[in-house]
Amino acid sequence: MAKKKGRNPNNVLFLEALLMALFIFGIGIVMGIFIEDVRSDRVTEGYFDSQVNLLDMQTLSDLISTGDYSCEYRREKNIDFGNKIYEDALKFSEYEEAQTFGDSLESQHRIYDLLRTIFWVNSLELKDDCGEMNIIVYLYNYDEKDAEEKQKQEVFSRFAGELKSEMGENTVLIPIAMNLGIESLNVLKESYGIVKTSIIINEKTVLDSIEDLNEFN
Amino acid sequence: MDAITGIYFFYMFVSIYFLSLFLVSFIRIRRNIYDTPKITKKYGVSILIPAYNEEESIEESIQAVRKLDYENIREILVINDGSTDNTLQIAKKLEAKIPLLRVIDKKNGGKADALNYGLKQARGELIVIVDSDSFPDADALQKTVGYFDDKTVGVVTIPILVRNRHNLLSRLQAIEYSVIAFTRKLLEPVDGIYVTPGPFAVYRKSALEEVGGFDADNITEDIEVTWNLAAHNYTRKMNMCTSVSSVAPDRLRDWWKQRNRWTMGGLQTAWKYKNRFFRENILGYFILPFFVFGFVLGILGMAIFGYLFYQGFMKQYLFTKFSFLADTALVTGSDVINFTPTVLNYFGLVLFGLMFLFTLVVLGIIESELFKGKRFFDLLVYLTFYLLLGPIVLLTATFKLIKGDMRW
Repeated sequence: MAKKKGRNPNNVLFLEALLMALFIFGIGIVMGIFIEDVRSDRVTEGYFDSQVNLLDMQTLSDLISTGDYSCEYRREKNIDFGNKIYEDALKFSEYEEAQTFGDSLESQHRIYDLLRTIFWVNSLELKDDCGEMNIIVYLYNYDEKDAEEKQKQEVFSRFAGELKSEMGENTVLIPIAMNLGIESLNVLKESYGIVKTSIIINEKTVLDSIEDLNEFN
Repeated sequence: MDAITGIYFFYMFVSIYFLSLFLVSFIRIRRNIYDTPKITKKYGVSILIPAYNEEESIEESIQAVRKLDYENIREILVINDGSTDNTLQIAKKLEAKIPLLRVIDKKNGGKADALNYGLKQARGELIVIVDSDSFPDADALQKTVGYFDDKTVGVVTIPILVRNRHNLLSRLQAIEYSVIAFTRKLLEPVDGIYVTPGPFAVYRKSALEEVGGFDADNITEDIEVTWNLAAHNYTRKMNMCTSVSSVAPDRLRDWWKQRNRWTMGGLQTAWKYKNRFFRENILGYFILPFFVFGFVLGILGMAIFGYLFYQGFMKQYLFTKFSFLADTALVTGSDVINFTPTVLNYFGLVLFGLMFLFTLVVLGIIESELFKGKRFFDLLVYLTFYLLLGPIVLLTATFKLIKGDMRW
């Protein structure tokens, strides 16, 4: 038999490799957390930005009654704002799905949805005052677990986007998660008889099934 | 973080660990990779060539062995293991011309049995095993015997290079063999060499006798004997200064059979040494866990991949079905613009980059023709597709073993 060897001096390589792997892996994790923090900050910043814009919109509405501001101007600002929050919604939903380490962005999302609800009410008022505006509201469930429902929602979302393009420049699309316990939204939902993923078009038409989407097309 | 993400990170960590191990090992031995111990003693050497139905390559193989540049070759023993083709006749014809060559004919009993048969008749202190479809460089023996001055060395092997590189499959194996050769050298400092393959390996005869020769019940006798030597505290060495070329399967069916045999033999060997797990020496503390965890991770990875693939497929299927029903677009520009990679995507990308770099460096060191022609394309196919076939082989080999089907 070969002589029993003592401890192999090169066994320290296992330890060195472990330290190196921990170092590289640790850097990866720290960078991952950093990237997600940056994204989370962007969502929060986006929220503040939207909040300021919405307040600005409301102030503008108040000014209308006292000053000489045209409906055209108000409508333009409203649509710009609507477009921005729609783009934000798409971007932030991607951020949320890419979240690995960080906490869920549910609380930010809830605030966002409240803002969008206020924006919806604001847009309805503006339409009453000035007319000539299309409002599409897409109501969906946040963090839908059911795979089939989730894919239905994806299709509803895409349909709403396509509809917005088809209906022209004077159209706002407002996506709102309806299951985050926002009371004012619940009242609005009840008034339209909404119980599941739906698209409300100009306060008249409610589409809540794939078949409805097809028929509307 | 869900369970699958946790497992993904575990995989990442294990991969980074082994890349780190190879890196620190490389740093340790980088100046000595191509060192060859000086010959201080002319050991008597017996060369064994087991052959079964190798009429196409046996003559060339014997000629290559004959050209080995070493003074003390005592004999070249061709053990014909009951071939049903012209292997015996070809060998016999050469026997008349080559003084050192002796042809032994026996009933078919498998490679290990043939080797044990030859071992009993061999007179050298060192036993060289050469597969009958392999062709060692002329200096292969001369540059290897010096290792045996160290009494703990039980076996020395050399890099195997693929001789036939005429199609994609054989070129992919050429890359694979080079990477294997280099990583085997990188495992040497931790005494982690776990196989000394059949194409060319030099054994200390007394060590082989001590461990009872080759296990005739094992379908990969080269893996088993290496583990057996490790169990008996013999070190295994890798000599990078020379090489042996061998014929790799150039048809998918043959490749599949070969890989199944290797995997089944590995599993068979692991089962045989299961009681050594985390015990005694490097076999129990590194080789066996390395193999078993590799196996478990391979199977688990395959299962997770299957699950994720199924999930992705179902997701896409449902989306397509609903999109079709609702008459909406399947893909839009915003899908691309808004794509946000996850941290897992970044990790995967970095790891792929590291593996790519590692393979590139290895090929740069071992093979000088790296950047010629199709090699870069081959490298991409090797990393993105070929390596993924491993777990599939693992799965089928396991299934066959469970069924008790030892054919390959």
